[in-house]
Amino acid sequence: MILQGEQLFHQGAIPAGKLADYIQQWGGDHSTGAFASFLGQVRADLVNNEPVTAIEYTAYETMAEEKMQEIATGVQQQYGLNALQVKHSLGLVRSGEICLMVITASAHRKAAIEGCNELVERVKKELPIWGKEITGSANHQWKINQ
Amino acid sequence: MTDTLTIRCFGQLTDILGSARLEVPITNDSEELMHLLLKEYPLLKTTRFIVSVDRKVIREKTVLTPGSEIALLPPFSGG
Repeated sequence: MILQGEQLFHQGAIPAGKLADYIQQWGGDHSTGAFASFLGQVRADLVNNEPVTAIEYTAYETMAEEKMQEIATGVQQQYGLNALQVKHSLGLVRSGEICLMVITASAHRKAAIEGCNELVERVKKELPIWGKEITGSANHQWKINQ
Repeated sequence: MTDTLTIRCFGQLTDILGSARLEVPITNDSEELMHLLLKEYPLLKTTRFIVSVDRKVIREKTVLTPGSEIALLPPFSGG
């Protein structure tokens, strides 16, 4: 149940309801006792005293998809996850909207939580994705991951 | 056989270079390519980036062919 042939990328903001859809879908696996999730939301940081109104995401899509498969396979094996899913936005996502969704399912909570955390860290560090922070006056600066 | 290499650029490099694609004459390996790129596009010296060949980040000298898929990748900032 790793990614299940689904695309990593989602055009625009990710609807929060998608999280519930996956939990509903995976609930049928009665060997699962724990779900963990992380949702990343675009934050209105101040850039030159102006709040960020949106982030425009671009990616080297084919490389990102290949790398994501590699990461997913490694994390699934390392933590013994029953299922996992990662979705990342492409294009414009406004402040207050969701740009990253990571969900894991496992028999026990520790694997689900730690596997989810590792996926988030590796997505941010290893996937060729770039965020352009846009402010009200049509200025922009390229996001820097902390 | 084409005698040029097309190099894809991403993120802030598209702003700095004003283009998402660069074309340069073919070189034998990645070290020769970097030498040529820095000479032809000195603005590349103003920013940090890594290089991928066929969608894998390279850390060492890599042989290039006309079909090599080369990209210049500034620091990632997904999430």
